[in-house]
Amino acid sequence: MEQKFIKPPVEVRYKRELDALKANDNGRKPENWYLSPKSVKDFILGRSKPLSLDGEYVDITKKFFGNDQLVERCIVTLAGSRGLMLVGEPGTAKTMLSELLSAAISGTSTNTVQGTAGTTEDMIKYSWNYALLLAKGPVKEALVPSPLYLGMSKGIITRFEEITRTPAEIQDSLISVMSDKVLNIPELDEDNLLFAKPGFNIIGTANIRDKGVNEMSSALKRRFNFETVNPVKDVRLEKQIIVNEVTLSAVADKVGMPVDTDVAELLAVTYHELREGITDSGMKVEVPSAVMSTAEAVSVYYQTMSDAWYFEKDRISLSDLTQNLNNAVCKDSKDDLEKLKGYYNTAVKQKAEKVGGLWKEFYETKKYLK
Amino acid sequence: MEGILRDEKISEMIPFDYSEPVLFFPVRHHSPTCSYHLMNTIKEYKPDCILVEGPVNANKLIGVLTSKGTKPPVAFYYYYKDTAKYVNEDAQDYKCYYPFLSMSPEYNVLRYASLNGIECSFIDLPYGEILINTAEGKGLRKKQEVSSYSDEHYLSESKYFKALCEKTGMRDFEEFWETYFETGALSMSTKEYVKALYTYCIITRNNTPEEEMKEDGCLVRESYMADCIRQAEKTHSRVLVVTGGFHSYGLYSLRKGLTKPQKYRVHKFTEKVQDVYAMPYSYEAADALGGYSSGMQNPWFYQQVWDNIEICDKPDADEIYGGVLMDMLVECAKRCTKNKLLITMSDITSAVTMYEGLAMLRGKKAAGLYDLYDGVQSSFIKGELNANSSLPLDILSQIATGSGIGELCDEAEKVPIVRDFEEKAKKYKLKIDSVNQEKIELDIFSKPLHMEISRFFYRMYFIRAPFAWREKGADIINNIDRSRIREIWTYQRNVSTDSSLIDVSVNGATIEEACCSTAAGRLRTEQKCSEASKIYVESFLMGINTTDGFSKNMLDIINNDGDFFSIGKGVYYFNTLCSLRKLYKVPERDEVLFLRKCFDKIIVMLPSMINVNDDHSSECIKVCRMLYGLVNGGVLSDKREVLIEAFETMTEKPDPSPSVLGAVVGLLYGSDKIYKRKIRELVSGYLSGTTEMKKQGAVFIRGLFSTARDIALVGDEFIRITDELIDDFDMIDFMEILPELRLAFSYFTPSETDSIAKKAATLYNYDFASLLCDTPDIDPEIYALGLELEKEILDERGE
Repeated sequence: MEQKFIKPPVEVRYKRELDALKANDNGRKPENWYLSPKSVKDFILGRSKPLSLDGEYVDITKKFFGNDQLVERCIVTLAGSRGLMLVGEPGTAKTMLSELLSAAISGTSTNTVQGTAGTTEDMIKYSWNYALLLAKGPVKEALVPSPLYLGMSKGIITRFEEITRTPAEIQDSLISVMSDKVLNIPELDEDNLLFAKPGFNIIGTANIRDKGVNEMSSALKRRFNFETVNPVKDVRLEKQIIVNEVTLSAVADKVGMPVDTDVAELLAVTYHELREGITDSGMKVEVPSAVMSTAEAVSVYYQTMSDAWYFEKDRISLSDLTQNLNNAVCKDSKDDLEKLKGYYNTAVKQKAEKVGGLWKEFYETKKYLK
Repeated sequence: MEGILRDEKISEMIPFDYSEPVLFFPVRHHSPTCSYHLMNTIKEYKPDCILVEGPVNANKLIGVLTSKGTKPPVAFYYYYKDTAKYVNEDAQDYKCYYPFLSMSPEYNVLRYASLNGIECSFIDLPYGEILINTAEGKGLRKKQEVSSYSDEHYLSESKYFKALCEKTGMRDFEEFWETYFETGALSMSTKEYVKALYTYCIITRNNTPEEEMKEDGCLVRESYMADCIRQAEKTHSRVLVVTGGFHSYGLYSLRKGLTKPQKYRVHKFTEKVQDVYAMPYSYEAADALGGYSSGMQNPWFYQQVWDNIEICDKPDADEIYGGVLMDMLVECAKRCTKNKLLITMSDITSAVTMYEGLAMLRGKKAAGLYDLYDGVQSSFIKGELNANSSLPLDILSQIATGSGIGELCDEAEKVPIVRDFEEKAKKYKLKIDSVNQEKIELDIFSKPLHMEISRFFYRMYFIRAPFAWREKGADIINNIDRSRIREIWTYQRNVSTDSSLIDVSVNGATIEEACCSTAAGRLRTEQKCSEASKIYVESFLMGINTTDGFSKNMLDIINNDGDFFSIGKGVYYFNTLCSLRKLYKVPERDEVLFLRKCFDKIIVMLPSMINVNDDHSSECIKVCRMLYGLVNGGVLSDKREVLIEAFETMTEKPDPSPSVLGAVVGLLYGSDKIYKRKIRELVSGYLSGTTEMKKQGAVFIRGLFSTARDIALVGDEFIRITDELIDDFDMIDFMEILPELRLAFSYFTPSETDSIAKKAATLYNYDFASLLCDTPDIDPEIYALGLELEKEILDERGE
């Protein structure tokens, strides 16, 4: 398929899968849902058997790894009256999960508010086209709908990214919308109440490293069910995620190099051990303060692979990998460099001696840690 | 069951036909749905004999178990003492539990048989024989905290189950079981249910290597059970065999001659070697055993399910589980609110929507406990899930586990020692029916009853029956808080209390007897004076006389013990007994004799201790100080000269430990000031020696100040000597001896340190007051930083 986006939205990326699920969907559906909850679950967690679509079989792949029950709870939450709040460390695929849920439930994942320190109430509810406002006064035509407004009027999911980066008083403007499912537009003389259509709900994401920056009010918390997305604990799964994500990005960017699964495993082990502070042999290592998420690992791998592809190297270079790892880990704190060096000098060294091969080569690149 | 457990060919490997003379019914321990289908089977099959998996030596307890007065949870407690070394050369004692809850299929079937006059019995090998036929670290010989007879690890840990879990999206065996064999199986016909269970168990068995079953003792047990079934067949026409599902095919194939039986031998053991008792059990303990692959977990939850099944003609999973889940949810919300976590009606509604929705999404017949956990997690926890926010889940887990204790009927033969424990507890008005920890404050010297209670607690502690823990009070054994006149104890009766009492029941019918014989047994084999004398102190605290008839033993122990520190402990313990006897109103026994004997022995050993190494020097100084204190009054006052003589001998010995030497001459100085000259000579010797000897001088001073600190306070001679010593060191050497000097001056009180500082200041013509004033002020910021650092370090260390 010809891609015309740097990062295609989920509903474009997985269009065939969504279509196949839709065509074969016999499950009960909440009103206005694109797919039934059972099919939403299959879309995110995958199915063992492919589905037929236009005479072809379409594989439904697993897209979210690590906690199947969490996905089920998210789906049931969104079918109810409460919003869904995904919390967790950065890079734990909260955003990806919210995109997948939105695409499968509403057919679109792009109805999104991005929370920042500068987010205002207008951006959440609605604003005005000032030329029209001056010309015609406060009429519906002059109203610029926000993603929340659109979600309510169309009966689709609104995603609110990084909600805790938004000032608390701005966050609280969601309370009445979530309680009464109605948005008041006092400026309009007529039709000044927007009632949410069935299918509307909100998926918020919040990074626990931002905790305390703009703490959510308990009134708003009561209107959400919370789900904590933890880093993937299983190294095999983490490797699988790296391979899957890098493959998808490579296809999108036309990088014609296959993913080296051994290097992906090495990187998955490195990230896993640095995050957990312990190696597979029980050796304790210092945990860097930088985010050691799977998303970061994917980024490091992809950067290294792009480098090999564009500079026409015959294979992915471990010295580039070490340099990219160095840049990814040593951002905020000087101590992190020492921690990373410590990891190479102990854990990587031990693996180089015991396992040899790729680990030996990886250990020899420690000179690039600067 | 969506075809997962429907394989006609496999399930038909064992016919489940009510016309068969022998009918095998597979069960899982504590499963309410198993119980339900089992009771249906009994009504249809109308057996004239029921055989249940369980060691045969518990047959005598079936009457107790099924009596009207017995209220589960109760357990059979098996023990086997391998004195004849049949298991291995270690001659260990073994014990295990076989718990019964009111929803347990085994309990229900035995109770039904008993009420309807149907012959019933257990058919497994006696406990000891199972152990003898099990390999090290396998089956009932696995090293784990508690051992359960009913081990189901085959079902929950097989490769087959893991593959099933992946396919069905279940997180563990418990969820899988609940989905397919509880909520999903209640509305099935009994035949369908048994077929599904057969399928699961037979496939699991086919995936288990024969060698593993052999090592676990599984095959030999099945051979024995098969023989019991054959015996029953001879006299009965309809035999119902109720065993764990894993054994069903093994038993069936043995009965049909499809597999070769294993050889076994049944030994004749006395009751002292092998026996079984019935005892009250708790839901908590049953739940913990579930964690060792032994029966279902969350017993209170399934108990409620069973109570509802029992009163329905045609139980409906949705209705029964729906009711129980709602009760649990409301109770959880109430307890959260009590714990200051406000749960609103909207949260409860949201949780209900969640567990019902999840059940539907997961394709379950009805929502179960796992869906409830998910509902509570989503709806009750506001924010990130972590150890601080998991209160609702913790509360739900407590509720689902349950907190009650069972009861045995009056006619149950109670183990005499347990009866004695209960009588004593009643006499002392201790709350032993509660599952909560209780606290009691004892005024032991003014209230005789409190003294009795204290002794009762010490006795329980001595026989290692976990029941009471002293929180505050004089710790005579470790010489801590000796001046306290009150004791605060916490106590709690739990399953381990009873099992530990049963463990020691062979030592006596009462707690006092058990303590006496345990103490006597230990004294008989003890070789260290420190341990033997400690038993005397423990006996003293327990208010029992264990020592009669052991005087010669004790004297022999003292004679034969060549460890200086062990004899030193003996001196301490026997002296403690001598000094506390009147206060505790305990009659005089042999402690004076033992004290003098220990003293005589230690005096002989004392001179050689001058060469003790650095690791033991502090301990040696402690003993020297104690001995010196003892000869200055009391029963050892006549030994003063002997001790002084021994100290003098020590000072003459070559290559002394400088700290011990310092301490000893300090003590001599305390006995007579003429020893000051000796001290001066010794210090001069160190001062005029090599650098290494000078360093030892600092250690000597530390020893000296530990026993004679007044020497530094009288006149300024020792201040000068110390000053000379310090003055001679260069910076590196000074830094090396600094810790020793710091320790040396730590024996002084703050006012004494001031007085020494004044003398030191005078030596250098400094005004002491100006020295204090010249001390630069500490920057408040640095001080605050120091405090903060200290706090962080303490926090890090969890203090």
